[in-house]
Parts: sequence; C-alpha cells; structure tokens
Amino acid sequence: MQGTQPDIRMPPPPPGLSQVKREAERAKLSEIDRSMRVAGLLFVLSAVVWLMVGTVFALIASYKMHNPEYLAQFEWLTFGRVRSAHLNTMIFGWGNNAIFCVALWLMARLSRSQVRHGGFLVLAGILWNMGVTIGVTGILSGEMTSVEWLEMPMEVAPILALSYAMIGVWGIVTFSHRQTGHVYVSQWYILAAIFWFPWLYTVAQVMILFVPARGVVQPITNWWFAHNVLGLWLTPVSLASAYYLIPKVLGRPVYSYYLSVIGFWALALFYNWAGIHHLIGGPIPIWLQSAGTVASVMMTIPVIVVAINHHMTVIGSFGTVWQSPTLRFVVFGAMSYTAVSLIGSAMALREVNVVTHFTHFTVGHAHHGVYAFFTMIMFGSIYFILPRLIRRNWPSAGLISIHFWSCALGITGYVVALSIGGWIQGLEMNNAEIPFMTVVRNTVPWLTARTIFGILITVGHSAFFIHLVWMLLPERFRRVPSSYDSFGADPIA
Amino acid sequence: MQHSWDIVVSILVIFGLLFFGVAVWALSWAAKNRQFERFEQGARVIFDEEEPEGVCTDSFPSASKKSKNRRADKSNQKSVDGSD
Repeated sequence: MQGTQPDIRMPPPPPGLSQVKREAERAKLSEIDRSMRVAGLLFVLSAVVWLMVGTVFALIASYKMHNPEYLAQFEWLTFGRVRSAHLNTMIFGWGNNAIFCVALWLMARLSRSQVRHGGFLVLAGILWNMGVTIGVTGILSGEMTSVEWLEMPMEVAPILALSYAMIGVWGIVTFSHRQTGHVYVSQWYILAAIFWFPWLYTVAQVMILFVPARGVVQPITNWWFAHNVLGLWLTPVSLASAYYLIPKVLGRPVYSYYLSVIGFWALALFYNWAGIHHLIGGPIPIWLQSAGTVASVMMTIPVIVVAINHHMTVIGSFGTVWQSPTLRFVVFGAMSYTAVSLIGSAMALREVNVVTHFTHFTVGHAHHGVYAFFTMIMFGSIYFILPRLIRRNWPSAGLISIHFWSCALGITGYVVALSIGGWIQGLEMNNAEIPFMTVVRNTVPWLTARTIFGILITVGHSAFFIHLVWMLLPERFRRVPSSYDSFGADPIA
Repeated sequence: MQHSWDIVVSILVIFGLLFFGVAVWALSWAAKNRQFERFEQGARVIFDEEEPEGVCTDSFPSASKKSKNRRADKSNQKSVDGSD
C-alpha cells in the first residue's frame, strides 16, 4: 500500500537507461506537448484574461457592498448584475478555460497519447469564449436569468454545450488512445469530470430554463447543479492535478495509492447528494434535507483520505515545496481543500446552518473553495504546464513570489474576515431584539476588510498577468535566454 | 405543457439510468482489468525517463540552474563516496 520514500535531496541517476531510450522518451513527451501547444496556450490566455475581467467585476461588487452610491449611475454596473457577471466570468471564463488546458494536458501526458487534430480544440476554445462573452454581456445588459450560477441568457447554452462537447470528446478520445495499461488516479478524476459536467449543465438548463419544472423542484435542481459544479467539476480536476503534481515535482510516489483510489470512488458516491444542504430550512421535504446533510458529512471520508495522502507525501519535504512555484500553490490549495471541506460538512449540520445561512459566512466559504482550493491549484498547474507546452521558462522569480504572497494572504484574510463577520451577522439575525438595519451596519467593517483583501488579490493577479505576457514576448524582451530545460535533461531542439 | 414535461422527465430519467450504468460498468471494468491491484506500480506511472523518480522537477526560474548544479554535485559526490 505505502510507497517507498526516496531521499529527493540526493537523487540517484536513473539506473540502467540507455541514451537511445531516454531520447525516444523525450521525443515522445515533446510530441505530446506539441500536439496541444496552440490549444493549451489559447485556453491559458483566455483563462487569465477572464481572471482579470472577473477581478474587476469582483472589486466593483465588493466596494458597492459598503458604498452603494459607487457607480450607481450606470445601470450596467448595478450590484445584482456586476456580482453575477463576476461569478459567471470566474466559473465559465477563468475556471473552465483553465480546466480545459490542465485536464487535457494531464490526460494526454498520463495516457502517453497525443491530442489528435488539435485544431478542433482551438475552434472549440474560440466558440466557448464567444459564448462566455455573449453571456456576460447579456448579464450586464440586464438579460440575465434569476437562477444562481446559470445567469447567462438561455440562448448561450447551446453555444457552450456544443463547444464543451467538442472539448470533452477530445479528452475521451485521448484517453481511449492511451499507450499505458494502468489508469492513474488523476485520469479517473478527469474522465469522470468530463462526463459529470455536461450532465449537470444539461439537466439544469432543461429542468430550470428550457422546460421549467414546477415549484420547489427548481431550487432543488439549481443547488444540485451549482454545488456539483464545485464538487464534480472543479474539485475532481483540482484533485487530479494535485495527485499528479505533488508526487511528480517531489519525485516521490504518492504515500498511499490505495487510499487515493478509495478517495475517488467515495467522492463519486457522496458528493452528488450534498448540494441540497443549501436549502436546509427551506420548503422542501425534510428527508431530502437530511439526505443532503448526511452526504455532506459523509464527504469527510474522501476529504480525510486526500488530506492524509497529501500530507504524508509532502511530509519531510517542505523545503522542496517552498522551492517550487508549482508546489507552493498546489500545496496551499490542497490544505485549503481539507479545511474548506470540513467546514462545509459542519455547515450542513442544522445547528450550524441556522447561524451561517443567508450570511456572508457562506460567501467566504464559497471563495475558500473556489479560490483558496481550486484557483490556487490551477495557478500551480499553469506554472508547471506552460513551460513544458511552449518550451520557455518563466522569466521572473520575483513576480511568482508577488503572485503567491498577494493571493495567499489576500484570500486568507478574505475568508477569515467574512467568516467572523458572517458568524456575528448570523447570531445577530437570530436575535429578534436587534433591528435588522443594525445587523446590516455591523457588517460594514468586515465588508470593507473584504475589499482591502480583494485589492491584495488583484495585485497578485496583475503580477500573474504581466508575467504571462512577459513570458510570451520575443526573446529579446526576456531577461535571460530561457528556452525550457526540464530538470536533469538537455533542452529538446 | 404537462405532456412535454412528462417527455422531458422520461428522457432525463433514461439518460440518468444510462449514466449510472456507465459508472457501474466503469467500476467493474476497472476491477476486471486489475486496476485495483499492484498499487505500488500504479503510483509510479507518473515518472518517466525525462523526469524520473527521485528527482525534483520544478524550481524558481533564477534558481533552476543553481539548484540543478548543486544536486548534480551532491549526486556525483555520493557516487564517488560509494555511499549510494
């Protein structure tokens, strides 16, 4: 069960490898990377542009929460619109584009299979980003729906569905051409996510917007969808990436591969039910709420399994983690996964939910999951993947440090501020003697803190954006000649 | 309206059952294909000859050359000492 733990500080030279075999291996990996170079770069660039756009929306929305008069004369930027534009930009613009690159690259590398006809992926990527652009513009112009996480006008759904289908099918095709016998746990996660996302999206679109279900079936479907986008789309791809990158960068197999497989199947079994905890106390059948609570608590099994596995793999190598840009972000994300999931399970208990529901605590929790966990792992993954895709090194260590520290401190402060502020807000709302406006005023200092931490996160994103643009500039603009040279290997011509 | 809703629900239920069937099939395929055996070996498929087990494969840009040389030095020293 348990992998041996070689001392990575003193790596032995790979035993018994003929030079010819090594060259062949390198050429093969290089071909795989080359096969999705253009598509991968398109996805990463689109993702980071959407990240910047979404960050601007986030700052406007956050500032408006404690200064409602700010930009009040522009109907396109009212709080309701700009907040939804932020959410959709981040999930469908930043998140999905990042996932498309990371998941497809991991799938191709692990399957030892090239991405065939990468031009289709480029076409699908352009289509996807057109869909998101139309959708976000629709939200800002007042054409949005009232369904959380599905605010884009319903006409956009077919465009997104078609482009996703092209991308998803490419992932499956790559897997089906695999040259390896064993299916690594990351492949399980990605393959499952490729099927889960379209199922969630299609069912939610059909049952809520195209042929609307009646009554409370709509919110039930809504939260089944919205929570599962996190649990069965963002989470599996993030975990796939962590299960690949942590052992890969450390040069040490995962502590217990057996546990990792159990973790995957437990997630597949329990997460699907958990979204109903968003409706605890609502006018839906009690048994359904209880099922949601039970599933949320059962999620502690895969979460603890992943936490043990990652911790035991990393233990004793924190120095190496610190020296690796990729692992700084990925390990931060993996630790956040444990924290956010356990807090989420606790929030599904009725006694806790009665305080946290309808407060800023939930907003802090959502950012804990989507940012501190998912986004940080995607940052780390991009730091690892992009040099291999385009055969160039990142030009600046300083910008990576600024990116990491701004985002890590920013999101930590953000989550702490909203958790404390939200908890106080919940206690006060449950006290009938406190006037509602007093409760609202008492949240202002916490909301102001959120804006300040948001600015810090913006600094990090700007550093990342500048760094990416710098990396793509012609060689004369970069500090050092920096064609990519993987560790211990000569650069490939 | 009710009629079209019934059709939609029927289609979704059929697809849902198919979806569940695929998941069960995947689990049984994995078991039959001996994916749940030889875990030690499975955990090592991420390593290759370009980025082998035992070697750290990521570092800050300015430090990459330096740390690579340092590791290479240590490795060579160990080989000379015969203490590998």
